[in-house]
Amino acid sequence: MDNSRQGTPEERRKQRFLNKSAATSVKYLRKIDELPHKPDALDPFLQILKHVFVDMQGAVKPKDTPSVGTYCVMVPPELIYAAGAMPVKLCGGSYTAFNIGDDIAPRDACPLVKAVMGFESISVMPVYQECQMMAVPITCDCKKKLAGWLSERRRTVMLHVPTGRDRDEDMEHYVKELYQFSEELTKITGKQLSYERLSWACGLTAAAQYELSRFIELRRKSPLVIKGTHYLAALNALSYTHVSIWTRYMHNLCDEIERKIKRKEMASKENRPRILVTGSPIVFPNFKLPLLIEEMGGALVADETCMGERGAYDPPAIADQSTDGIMRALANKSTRPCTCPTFTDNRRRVYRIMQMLEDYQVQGVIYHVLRGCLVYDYEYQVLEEEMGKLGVPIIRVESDYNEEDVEQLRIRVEAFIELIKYGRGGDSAIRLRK
Amino acid sequence: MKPTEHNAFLNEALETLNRIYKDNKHLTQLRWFLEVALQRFNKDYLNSRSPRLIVLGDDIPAEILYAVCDDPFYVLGGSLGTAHWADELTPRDTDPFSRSSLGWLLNPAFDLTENALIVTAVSSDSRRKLISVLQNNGRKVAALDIPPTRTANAAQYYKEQLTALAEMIGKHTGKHFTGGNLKRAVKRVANAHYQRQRFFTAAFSSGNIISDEAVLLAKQCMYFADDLEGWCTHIGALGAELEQLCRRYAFPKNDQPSVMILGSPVVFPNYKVPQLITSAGMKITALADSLSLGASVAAPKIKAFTSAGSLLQQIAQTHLKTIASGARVNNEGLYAYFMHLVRQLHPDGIVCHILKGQIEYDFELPRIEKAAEELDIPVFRLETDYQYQDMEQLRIRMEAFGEMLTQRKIVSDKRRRTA
Repeated sequence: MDNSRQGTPEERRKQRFLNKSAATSVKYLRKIDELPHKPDALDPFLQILKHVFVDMQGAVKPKDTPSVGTYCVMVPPELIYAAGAMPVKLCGGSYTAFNIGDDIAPRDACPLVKAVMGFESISVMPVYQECQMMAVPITCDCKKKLAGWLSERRRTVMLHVPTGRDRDEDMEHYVKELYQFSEELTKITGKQLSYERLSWACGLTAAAQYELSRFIELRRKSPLVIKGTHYLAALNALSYTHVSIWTRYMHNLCDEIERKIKRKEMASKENRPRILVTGSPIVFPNFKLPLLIEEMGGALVADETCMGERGAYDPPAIADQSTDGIMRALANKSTRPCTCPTFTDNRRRVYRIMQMLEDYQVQGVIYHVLRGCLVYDYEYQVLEEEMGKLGVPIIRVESDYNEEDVEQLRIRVEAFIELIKYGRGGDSAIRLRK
Repeated sequence: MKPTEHNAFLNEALETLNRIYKDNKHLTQLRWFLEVALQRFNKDYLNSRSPRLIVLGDDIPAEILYAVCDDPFYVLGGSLGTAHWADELTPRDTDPFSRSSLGWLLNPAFDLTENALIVTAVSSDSRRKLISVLQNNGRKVAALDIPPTRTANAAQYYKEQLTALAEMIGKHTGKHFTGGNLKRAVKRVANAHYQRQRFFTAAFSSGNIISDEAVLLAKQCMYFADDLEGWCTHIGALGAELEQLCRRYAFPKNDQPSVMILGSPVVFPNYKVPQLITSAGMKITALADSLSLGASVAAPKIKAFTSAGSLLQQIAQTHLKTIASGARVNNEGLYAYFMHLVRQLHPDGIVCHILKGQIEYDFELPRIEKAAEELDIPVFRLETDYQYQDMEQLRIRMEAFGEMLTQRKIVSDKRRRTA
């Protein structure tokens, strides 16, 4: 019997969305799974992505834990865990949701925001629906307008992130914003902010950061010990998992990689061009760029994006052991080391990337710009100039949330990898190593 | 003045000014405004001007600026020539307003920034990145971070930002931020607002005695004139001339459809949209953009012993409540201003002007469309940039919109007569 004709048009539309969205996710999960040298310990991370995007279940978390939807890296997860809830990073990467959002948002809005609007308006994804509150830091124009749009539909807290972050007054303001956010969290969970709860939550994230730092240390090895696409999948999974669960999985992954290193089972050959990806975030299932890099013979050794290392790397530096001290430390760690281009002065992003070139022995940089993501586009020129001085090749890759440009991207990525293999990239890497 | 060869920067301004002059030859008081606007495109003048304070955009309260600087130099974009100069410095999707503003400051023809402190509000992505571009090019920049919401925390932060900015400018210009200076600035700005409003009333009731572009230019010269008092005097004189002409000559009833322009600011010399509206046989009844709103925000009333702090508090509150800035999550200021103008002026149609890349206005559009639909006013979304290639395509669309409005007007007049 044909089930597709059952239900109201709206129900059928929702069902079509679920089918199409799941099909895309299955396809990308299969591609990630089929990449060679996949560690067995990566499976739980892929299961999380499957759980959320294919089985259409909610976030992976302990029972009865409320979810709080977050966007950008400026919302400290510690504060949400301390309130007895769990942060779920909802920046969207779905092509199907993007198509729905395309009808709602202005044409030139970025695809990530269109995907979020699509998910929200179709109201079928449990990971979105189960969120009791949305926390939106006001960063770029699209996020700003998204916050307004969401606030008409959901309980939303807006966090004003100061555009400068070096003055004490700016930090003071953000601390106040975090206190207000904490009050809103208390309203949904009933748990008051306290030193004990905050330090417990900081302990939770510190354990995850410890495992992540272990992982990063292992990733720096040459030849590569884990494919870039695999590590991006593992870091994406953090968005939809309780940090304690993710930490356990990450611990197992690090252990397995260490065993592989002892057995000299590396994930790529030594002569693979080592590539760093930076720019707009790579959110599952929009994994076309990392997959293309690795399919074309490149080694994706590092990323400087907010869905990758940047999203979880910086621990709070707690100097004052009090509730206020921790709050200040959280405000600091959410903004000061952050290399998001929405800050007016962002030289530190260039320094960070230059440091990464050395740490990961990078031979080429791919600058990923999602169409409409103006802030990243502005910073390309500065980075191009700096890379030019170092002799490190760089290309700007502009993309959208669809698969129509995959073949064009493939040609560009392939040409770039060949350029590094047979051209300047090799020399620059040697220079950097010296 | 005739356009010169190989000088696109000046020619664009000349073309607009010649058109305004041709349409308003009978207005002797308008000449001062034409000269002021033309001066802005004179490279010798620009090379010799050497401003101490350059203000990028119109989001910073004028009272604060005039309290610490007698003659701030406003840069509001508007020029295609300067936009071309900034092509290499900005990404493809940058809005023309920001591109043009950057071109005014970094170009091979003149340097306004040599002794200047550039101040700007961080109201959009482009604006926040312009700050980095200017700093990377060795320019001194101070930014005002506008809170996106109106919480108590935001109001406090905004006030602190304004104080810090005023003190920084004061240090640079040598005119310190004091209660006395702020009071005098409030009076100066309030007088300018009063004169502007008087002129607007005179222009509104004078029918076709003055063209829409001329009205726009005269008002915008407030930002271009070196001397605010000079502008006040001349706008007063122009308003008086209009009133006199109105009294002397009875003019026919204006039965053209009236439209309101809403959205991205229309800045001299790029008067493409007003030109299209006029050529399609419509009359511009009002402009609801950040420039117009900024110039019409009511200044706080000064009490006898008002301190700088309390006056600043009032200014901060007024601006945070009323400004139409893309920096806000919901552009309540623009929406409220739009509703106020619609109720006051009853336009027949609304032209929503969106400069390519200014998506914040596009996000606001559904709300405006909904409100307009309830009031039975047609909305026409017009997306363009500073290029002139799309003029003819836009003209066809604008003419169709004009015809539709005329038709509606005829039908409603007929219905009124037969009722």
